[in-house]
Amino acid sequence: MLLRLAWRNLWRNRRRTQLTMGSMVFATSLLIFTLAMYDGMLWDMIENVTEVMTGHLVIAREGYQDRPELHRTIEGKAVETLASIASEGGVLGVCPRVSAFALLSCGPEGKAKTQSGRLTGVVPEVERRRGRLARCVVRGRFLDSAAGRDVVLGTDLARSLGAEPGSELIVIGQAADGSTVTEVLSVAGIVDTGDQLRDGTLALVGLETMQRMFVLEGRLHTLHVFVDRPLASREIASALSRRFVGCGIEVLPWQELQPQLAQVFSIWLGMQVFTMGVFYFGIVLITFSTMSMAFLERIREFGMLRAIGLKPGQLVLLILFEGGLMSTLAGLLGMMAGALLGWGIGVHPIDLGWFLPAISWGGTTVTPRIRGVLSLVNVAMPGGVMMLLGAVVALVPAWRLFFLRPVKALREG
Amino acid sequence: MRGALLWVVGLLFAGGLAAGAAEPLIASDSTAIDAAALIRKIETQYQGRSSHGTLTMTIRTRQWSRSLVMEAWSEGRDRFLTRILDPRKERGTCTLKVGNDIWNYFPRIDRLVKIPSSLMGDRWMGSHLTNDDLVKENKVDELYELTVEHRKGANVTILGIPRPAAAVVWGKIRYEADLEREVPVRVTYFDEENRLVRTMTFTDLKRIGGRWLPMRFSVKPQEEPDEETVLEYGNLTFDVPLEKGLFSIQRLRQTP
Repeated sequence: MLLRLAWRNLWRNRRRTQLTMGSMVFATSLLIFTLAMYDGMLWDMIENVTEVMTGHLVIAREGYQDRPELHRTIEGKAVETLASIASEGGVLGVCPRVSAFALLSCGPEGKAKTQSGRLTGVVPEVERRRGRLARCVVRGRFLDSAAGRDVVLGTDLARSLGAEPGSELIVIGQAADGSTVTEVLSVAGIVDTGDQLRDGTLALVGLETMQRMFVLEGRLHTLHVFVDRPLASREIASALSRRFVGCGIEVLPWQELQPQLAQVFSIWLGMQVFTMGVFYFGIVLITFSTMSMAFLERIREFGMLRAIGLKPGQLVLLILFEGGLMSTLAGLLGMMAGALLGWGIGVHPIDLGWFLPAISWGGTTVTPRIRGVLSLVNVAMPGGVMMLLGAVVALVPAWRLFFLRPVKALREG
Repeated sequence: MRGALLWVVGLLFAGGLAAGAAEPLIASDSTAIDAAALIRKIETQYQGRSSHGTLTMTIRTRQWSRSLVMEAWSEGRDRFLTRILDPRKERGTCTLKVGNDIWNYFPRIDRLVKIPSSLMGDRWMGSHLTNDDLVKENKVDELYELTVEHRKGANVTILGIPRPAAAVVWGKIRYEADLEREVPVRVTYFDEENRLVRTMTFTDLKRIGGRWLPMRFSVKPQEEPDEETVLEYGNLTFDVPLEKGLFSIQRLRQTP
């Protein structure tokens, strides 16, 4: 009965309830939207690192990540064993690669531009299936086959070499056996991975071509693993590492490959908690003042209810029900509105690229766009906390009802 | 410091012996030595009109070892040309130095590539020498403040500290020379934090044209004690008549 009474009470003064609930809905939805925006920016940064090149885990010979030398390879049976990870649950794909630094030269003899670059041998079919590398082509096309004579250059490298799709690229380097590598490749396309530092040296070649050029047949430098739960990369990496104990192979999650980004991630979480704190403080203030006003307005009504026999406990419960109903409703509506907004900018991110450039920082790129990424926690928590908060805030004025003297209340009202 | 290295490379590349007697470096009754004059003399005494010879370069790294046999020509100090004779796979690969520029010619792909200044620090032919080592003039006396650190009999140790405006990568060099034969014995290179980076050792002295010449020198990087590059000279002839236009990029393709 009290619940029904509370529900009716809410709609007796419709405007007051609407105003209080409105501010609650607004605050909840705005918080969900803000958190979605934060997550969007963070995931942009993580994906710019993991999805484009690195993957979520990198498997390599111990020490290769610190000193990527040509001879630090994974070879023999280890290559097959590691490649079999691709068929395991939770693994979306495994990209095998070989890398080497070499001198790259482009242009007519005498006027050719020469600079060093990092050649990376990839399997085009695998890269197309997984990650975004093959989709980063801005001019020309991606590689066709692992054994072709094509090369795809990073935008900045192509610019400094004066290379265009169709240009001839001369590669001069040193093979794993010490011999001199000399090769003429054809520029098939140009990729923009969003990271200027990387695009300044990136040159993609078919894996088999690369292995042949640098006398690395049957050997790999890295295997880039993509998983369905990027945030669980650390756990997956340690599970994999345990399987390869004593093989001289290390499995590194993106958090270790990009420690700066992992730090940003931690700071981000702290910022989210802080933002939520600020929002809730505001909501508490608004709700508290609205409820206190309503309480003062209704003091005569409370006196009347007490006079006709409602016990103080029942009266307090009534107010708590009112607060609880209002906040539950506001929380649900806020969740819906916030989720809708977050989903909206998730599907249609707001591009700020026309006046803000992309920033390469901490091994990743901050994309100039507002994008929303919804998560269950970021939707449910603001809503849930809102629901609780309504009842808790109502508790403060309601507490005074225990001490309400009906005669005085009727006279004051 | 690199001047010293170039001196060695220069021994092969840079030329014939200068005619004429050397100026005395030390007064017979004195221990005082003009360090700059000594190094200048050592490093320039091989300058001549031209030279021709063969060179065997053995490179040893932790992962691989290889030997390259090269034919080399030089004219003055500014021009030299090397052509790989062996291994067969790389036969005909040429390095041409004219002034401060280096070109490589690769017959397998029939391409000529000029080494940009930003890559002069890269290894030359995979050895422990850099392209920069090849082109640097023998300017140890100009680039460094030289002082005699130690002297015992005919052996003298000279310390070189870069002059403020000198564009060198080393923090200091220590140049050990044999005063009697006027040849370098060992040159050690230190970084700016005074850590030993590499050691160059000169051995197998041979008397050619009235001068002593070290026919073998090795470069050992301090960080990789198992690694080494050894250059050995053979069939050196000086003041040989050289074909006109030998040191031109147009001729690289036609180098015999």
